[in-house]
Amino acid sequence: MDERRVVGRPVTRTDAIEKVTGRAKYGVDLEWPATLHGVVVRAERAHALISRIDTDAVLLRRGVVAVVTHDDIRSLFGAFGHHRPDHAILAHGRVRYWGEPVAVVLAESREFAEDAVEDVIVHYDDLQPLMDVKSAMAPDAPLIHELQPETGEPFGPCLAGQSGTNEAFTCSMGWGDVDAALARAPHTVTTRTSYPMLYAYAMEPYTAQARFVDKNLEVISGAQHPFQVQRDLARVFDITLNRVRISSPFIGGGFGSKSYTKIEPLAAVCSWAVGGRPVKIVLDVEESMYTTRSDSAEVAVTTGFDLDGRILARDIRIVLDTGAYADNSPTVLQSAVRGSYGPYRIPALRVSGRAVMTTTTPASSYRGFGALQTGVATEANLDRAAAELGINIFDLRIRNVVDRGEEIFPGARPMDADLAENLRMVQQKLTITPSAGLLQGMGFSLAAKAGGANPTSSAIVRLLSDGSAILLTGSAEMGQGSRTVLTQIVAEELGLEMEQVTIAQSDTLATPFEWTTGASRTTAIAGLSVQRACQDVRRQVLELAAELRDEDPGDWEWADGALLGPGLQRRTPREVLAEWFHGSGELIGTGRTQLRNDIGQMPAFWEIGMVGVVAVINERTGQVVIDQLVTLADVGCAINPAGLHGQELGGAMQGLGAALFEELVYDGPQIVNANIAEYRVPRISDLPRRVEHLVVERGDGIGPYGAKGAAEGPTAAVGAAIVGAVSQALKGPVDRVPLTPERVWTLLSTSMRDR
Amino acid sequence: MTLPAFDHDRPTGLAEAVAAVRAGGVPYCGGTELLATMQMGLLRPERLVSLQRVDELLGIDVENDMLRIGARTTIHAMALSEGVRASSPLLAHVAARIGNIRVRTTGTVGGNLASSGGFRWGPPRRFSCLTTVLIALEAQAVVGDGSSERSLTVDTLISCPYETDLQASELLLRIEVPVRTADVGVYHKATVAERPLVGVALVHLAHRDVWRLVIGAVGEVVLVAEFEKLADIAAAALSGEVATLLGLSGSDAYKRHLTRVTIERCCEDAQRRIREGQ
Amino acid sequence: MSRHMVSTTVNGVPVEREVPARRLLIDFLRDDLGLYGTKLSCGMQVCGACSVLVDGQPTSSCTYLAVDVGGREVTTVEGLAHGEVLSPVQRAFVEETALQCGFCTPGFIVSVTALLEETMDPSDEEIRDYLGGNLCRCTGYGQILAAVRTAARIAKDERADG
Repeated sequence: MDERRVVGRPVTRTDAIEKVTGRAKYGVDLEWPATLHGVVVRAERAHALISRIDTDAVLLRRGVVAVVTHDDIRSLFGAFGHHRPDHAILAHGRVRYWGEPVAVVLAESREFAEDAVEDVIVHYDDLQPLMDVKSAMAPDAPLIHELQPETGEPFGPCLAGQSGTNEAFTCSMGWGDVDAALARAPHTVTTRTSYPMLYAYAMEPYTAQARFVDKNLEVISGAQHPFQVQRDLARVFDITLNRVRISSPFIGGGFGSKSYTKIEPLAAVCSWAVGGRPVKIVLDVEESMYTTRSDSAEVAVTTGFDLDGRILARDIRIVLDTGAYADNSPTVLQSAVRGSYGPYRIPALRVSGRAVMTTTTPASSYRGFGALQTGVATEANLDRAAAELGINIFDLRIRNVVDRGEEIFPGARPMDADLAENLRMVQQKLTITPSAGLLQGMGFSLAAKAGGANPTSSAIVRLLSDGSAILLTGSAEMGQGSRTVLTQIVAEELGLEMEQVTIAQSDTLATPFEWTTGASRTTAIAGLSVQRACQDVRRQVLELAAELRDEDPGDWEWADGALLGPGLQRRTPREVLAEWFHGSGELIGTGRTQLRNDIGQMPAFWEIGMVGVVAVINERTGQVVIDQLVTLADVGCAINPAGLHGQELGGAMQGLGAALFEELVYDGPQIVNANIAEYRVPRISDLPRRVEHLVVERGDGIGPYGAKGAAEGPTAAVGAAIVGAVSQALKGPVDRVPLTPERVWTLLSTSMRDR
Repeated sequence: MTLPAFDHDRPTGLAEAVAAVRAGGVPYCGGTELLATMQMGLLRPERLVSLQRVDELLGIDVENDMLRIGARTTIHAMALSEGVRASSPLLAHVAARIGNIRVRTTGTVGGNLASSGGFRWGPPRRFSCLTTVLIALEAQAVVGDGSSERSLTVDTLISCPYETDLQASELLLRIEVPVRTADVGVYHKATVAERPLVGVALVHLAHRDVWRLVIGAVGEVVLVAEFEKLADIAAAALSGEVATLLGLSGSDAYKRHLTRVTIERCCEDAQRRIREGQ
Repeated sequence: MSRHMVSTTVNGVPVEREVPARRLLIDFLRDDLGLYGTKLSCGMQVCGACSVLVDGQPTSSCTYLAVDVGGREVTTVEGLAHGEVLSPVQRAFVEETALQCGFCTPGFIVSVTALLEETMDPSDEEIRDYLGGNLCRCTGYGQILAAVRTAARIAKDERADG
């Protein structure tokens, strides 16, 4: 392996100084001149027809310029959704969840808009609210969406559900004769769990601003996927992509909650309605909770084992509550199905998933989705089997994990990691110190997540006349450190210092296409297109150098940021450019990845979540404290080790929150804990006392330097590890998360009674 | 998060403040409770009176075995005060654990009591840690309008605001806590989300030789009971007596359970302290 | 709805502005003074993103009136560095990679500055306790905890150097 100067070394985050001095600008910090401020009027019904909206009084309020409702945008395509454009920008005659945008008050200041908003009176004719899967699937339940695809028609990566019901889409997979295998299995275990609705709590709430300049739409928002938003907005206004500019400045956290289109269309149609004047909409946390959430899940698993703990068959049923609109939930369901059974060798498998619409906040992506919702059931199922068969939880998994090169499902990329070896590494780090009177348990969980999404990425590297470089990438910086990692790659490839590389990111006008910033893809996929753009630049410089001397480019080579030619010639790129362009000029390199050729197989890489924990339970209060946390990141190559550690711990702590505290609670038509005092997220005091991050670098990923993605794995896996530890301590099953003190206390009381 | 519009006074002395309040202004100091209540839309006063420049409400001193803490004193200042730490370590201990650091540095003794009791502006939130421990310590609240003042027990002020005949012009001036170094006091609370679900103070009042137990936060009414002996405190029975508040933080059964556990912790802690003291 | 003249000092600079009584300190800093480093997140004094120092004390600017900083000194994250020289806390956060999205970072930096003002060499317990009211959703807090220790060390070294 070549000696690397920048990659794998400790570097300073390139955005660190801006962020510690308060100079970093987020969407909420930017504002065009003469901006109008929009405040959203939200539905105060879970399910109702809108009979009338009174706006006369509000228009008389000081500073109010306009009130925009669906009636004002009838000439537009008033909906969005990348799988199916069913998501109304402004409620169209009907509201499908509490908090749905019904109107927007536009005023000269935010204060004026907020003062006036109470004067918008919406009249409703109530419909039956369908607040959970059971009521939504009752035979007499009204349809949440009248316009439905036919049963079995394609619906994103899924199939449309049963027509005439609120079953939105289904997804299933499997092989072998599961029923027969389960019937014959010497030992079977059935587990059922509920996984809650979650709110990502990206600390910067949703924000978007839009304006039209010469009939071209410009939007600034916290979008993780500006190119996906661009497509939705082009359809809304029936204009071509070149006329829609979406840019994301620094994003104050995403975690999937800012993926795809959110409130950008709202700002855009408001601007359109007032002749293109800039409109800025900033939501608060409560409104953000009503904008998107994660799919909640009911999962039932039956696994058949032989007496040595080898899996013979698995039967998994998943039901997601997907809320009022489709959004990204078809992908979530597919991931839940594919991520449910784990990287295990399973002779007979049947997974059936269905997503049901309810009159609740639309569900969509959230960090680690898929395995996140299903792992607490399927991994807990293995733990139960281990206990019942008298096999240690690690050994049972080692007997079942796939080897490197084995497929998890037919046609998928074969496993690109050494799972058994990794697993032993985690096992060795986990220790319980026995202590009298202390209720403790150890848990471990393994998840395999399809990484990379659609691996379409492009990058442009401009080599400037003085030898420095500018990288243009569509990928967003939302905290994960893409700016730093991608800069490192350019510096490494072009022999530059970090300071000699500037990066422009996530702006559909200036930067090239990037499918998304999600699915842990940026280092591996965007990184690869960036590396290729650098290689393209190098190739061009070598060609120019050779041509200037009338030599064969093959006789020139790149070494440490310089060019070496025949006869010990050594030239710098700067000299070559100066000579070639008679002064100054620049070279433009491009790089591209797609689902073809070398990334010809999905997923681009497997992201392995591997987490072990030791949990301590306070027997008196039911409070669970995670005493030890061990994560393992199988990343191929850690380009920025410090960044990786932060991502791994951050991912694990987020999953820990879901396992112990977090849950959006509906009681009646609305969320009753739509605030951060009652939606409790992890605090610094919840940080385990013993934390270890293991990093495995085998250079076996498809990304640059053999890199693979990271940091969703621990989110997806930690919940099941905690559930495992708690059930081990309680010597009984856990059927739902979060494991709040009260729930654990209840479980404790039950297990005491049973003893 | 724009607040509804209001007028504002920022008097520089007690007389001015009393006049502003008498004219209908709602007094506040840090705003950690009042402004939050307004942001939640639960209160919409037309005029606010900031007491931040009323220096008569400042000051901590100990004289004649009485600890006096001005109503404008922040929780943090109280927690750090040498005077408070020396004369009422329990009070300092509780103060240091209220809310988060910003609530402590901005929130004041007066505001904390006002928000607990709802005697000044409602609705009452719940019995704060501070009120719970002050009631246990038999503290007095001194109210006055600048020309005269009178003392009420904190218990009366908070628990029975309608019996105190508190006049609109009367401001909470200070609290007075008897300094009794022979007393043993402990405090425990149980928190699931942001605010404590239950707080229990237990103080051995040497001058009367009784154990005074106060249970706050968990119910709409504070529960005060006195016992001759520590062993007489029946945690299970007491937890059955609290009328728990409805809310997301837990079921009635769990709140009672935590109440019991918290009482037990106080008793164990007190037992240990006595043992160690001997 | 009264308007008031607020005379205050922000980051060492005297400032005078007329504001309505209801103007919150965070809006005053961001919209009236253009100091966008202070961030609004939970809006209810729980998360700490909007922390600023008022007379040296950490304060939730989302629940504090601008009129109440009259005659007082306000310090925001923008006021901690001396020109291009970062404060010890800022340097420590950079050094330890104690940030990701950065939205909570100004609030953390302000709070840690106040903590080290009060306690020169805080224990882990004291750090966990003091920072209980600052939420971070990205880092999982490990590197933040390390940064506080590093900041304490840098500050101590600087005092030793004179």
